[in-house]
Amino acid sequence: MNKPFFAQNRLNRWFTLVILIFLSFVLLFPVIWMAISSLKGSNYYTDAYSLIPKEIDLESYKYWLSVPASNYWLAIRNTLQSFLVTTALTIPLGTMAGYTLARWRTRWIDVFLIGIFFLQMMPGFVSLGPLFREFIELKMIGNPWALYVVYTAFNLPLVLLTMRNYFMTLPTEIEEAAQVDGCSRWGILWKITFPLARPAVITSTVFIFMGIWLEYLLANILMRGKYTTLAVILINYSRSDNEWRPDLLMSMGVLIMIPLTMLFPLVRKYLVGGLSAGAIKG
Amino acid sequence: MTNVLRGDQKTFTNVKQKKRFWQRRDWDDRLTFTLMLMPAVILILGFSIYPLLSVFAISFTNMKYAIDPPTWNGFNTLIWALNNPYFTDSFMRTLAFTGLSVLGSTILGIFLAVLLNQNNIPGKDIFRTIILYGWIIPEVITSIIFRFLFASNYGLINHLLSVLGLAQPAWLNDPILTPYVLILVSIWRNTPFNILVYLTALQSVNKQWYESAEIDGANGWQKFRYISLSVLKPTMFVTVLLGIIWTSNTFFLPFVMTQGGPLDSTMLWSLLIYNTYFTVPQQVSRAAAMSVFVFLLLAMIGAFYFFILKRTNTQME
Repeated sequence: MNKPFFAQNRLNRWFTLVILIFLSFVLLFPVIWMAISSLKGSNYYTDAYSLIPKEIDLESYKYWLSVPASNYWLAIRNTLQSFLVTTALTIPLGTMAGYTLARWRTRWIDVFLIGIFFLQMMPGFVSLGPLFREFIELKMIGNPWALYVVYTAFNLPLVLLTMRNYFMTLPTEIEEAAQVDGCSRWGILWKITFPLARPAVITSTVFIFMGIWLEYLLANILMRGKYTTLAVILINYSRSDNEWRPDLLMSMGVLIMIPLTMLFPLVRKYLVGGLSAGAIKG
Repeated sequence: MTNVLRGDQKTFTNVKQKKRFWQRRDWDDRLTFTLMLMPAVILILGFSIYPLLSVFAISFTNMKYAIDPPTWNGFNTLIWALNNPYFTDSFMRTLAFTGLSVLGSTILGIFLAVLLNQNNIPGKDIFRTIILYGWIIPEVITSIIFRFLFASNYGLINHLLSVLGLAQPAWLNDPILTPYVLILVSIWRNTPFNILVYLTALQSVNKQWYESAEIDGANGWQKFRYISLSVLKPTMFVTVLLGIIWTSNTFFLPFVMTQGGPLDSTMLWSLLIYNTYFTVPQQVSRAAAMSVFVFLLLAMIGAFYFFILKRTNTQME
């Protein structure tokens, strides 16, 4: 019954299957190739094209993971730290703002939402220069708190929209009952509504992680030296032409993809429903 | 965003029916709400809106470095940007890049979503999972992998071509070819999202519509054209506009893969503005002036999107 016009004949099932398998191959092969190449290590130039490495050499992983050779662990620590601090700031602030936007009816809320919508559309690089200037004036260049605060400000719109959308679906009867029992608005939010919003909190956290894990532009201009993050190391290495070792680059790529892949089941569970709901900024 | 608007209206009708407790003139409540909104508002104002407004202010000055004191320069910098072929070329290039990439990923996305939406596909969930995985690969990783695959030395694609005895173009070093390579990678990157969105929309189609159309003698093309495509139309509108916004902001593909070259053939506006801001010799005012035009274009697209979305929502009531 539900057959598309270009797959009408008896062969359509095989036709579809072949196309879908080809699609999966095209989507996955680059990532698989990255993993394969990273295992070739220093044999890379003698064994560049084989699908199964002739000899598995973990030398390129050792390069990144051995402390003196690179700042990899330091960068991981900085990146995770900025993720944790940003989440710890963004989730409560986003919850408070999202709750207000969901429950408070004034016309200012609409103005606020339209503002957020336009803000989310604007690409980050447009205001990068003025942001840099602002932090020079605040004398915060190289101070990790500069990064945390900017990440919080940049992630708040998406988080508060996610929280608001979720709060809108919650029934208000429980809150009214609590109000009658003499619970304050503040108490209602944290004792009753927030514990119900776990899915929205998880979704927001995943958004924040995916946004920060490979964030380059802000980290590159605001951080210096020992506060460098992972994306900055990776991208600056990938752009340096002189000693460009493919296996090193690919192993770094694999190391970066591992946490994202581990988060994938969460993405599958929580993000697909709201695929087009709040995600505006790429 | 659709949900946001729809949600608004749902509450709005509630308000008319019954006065809820937060509608009463409860000043205590208002104070709490205001205080709860304040931290977010202050942070967004300070670190998103203030820098954006500064872009406009700086475009009227004559600053080289970010630390320079601003000196008034009127409209000169803005006029300079409009008359500078380096910027206008990059502007048009970005529009072409965005148009082709969005067109390609939309067509591919609908085609594959329709295929995947059939009833008798074995392993449908596996394909969906793979597509979803393709969606979460970050732009940075995509750029690095494809730079590696298309490389002239030790690149897999050219190796396969040489095995087949075909010509091996310099994929990333040919001013005519390279923009298309980047468009291709951009389509690769955008298609998974498109498939998933269109698949979700197609799943809302009532299967009986196809059956009754079949009874009325509709052929496959007619069913696709008049049922699937008309169901997809609202989704398409939103997804294409999202695609335009995202793709016009593409930064890492040229930044990592080609660094804007060869001969600036892949110098998108994102990279041009970034370079003007931060690579020596810095020209902060000029970068801000270019940003103003990008900003205005995106704001116009956003206003259009918003206007149509609002009109569709009122029609649905």
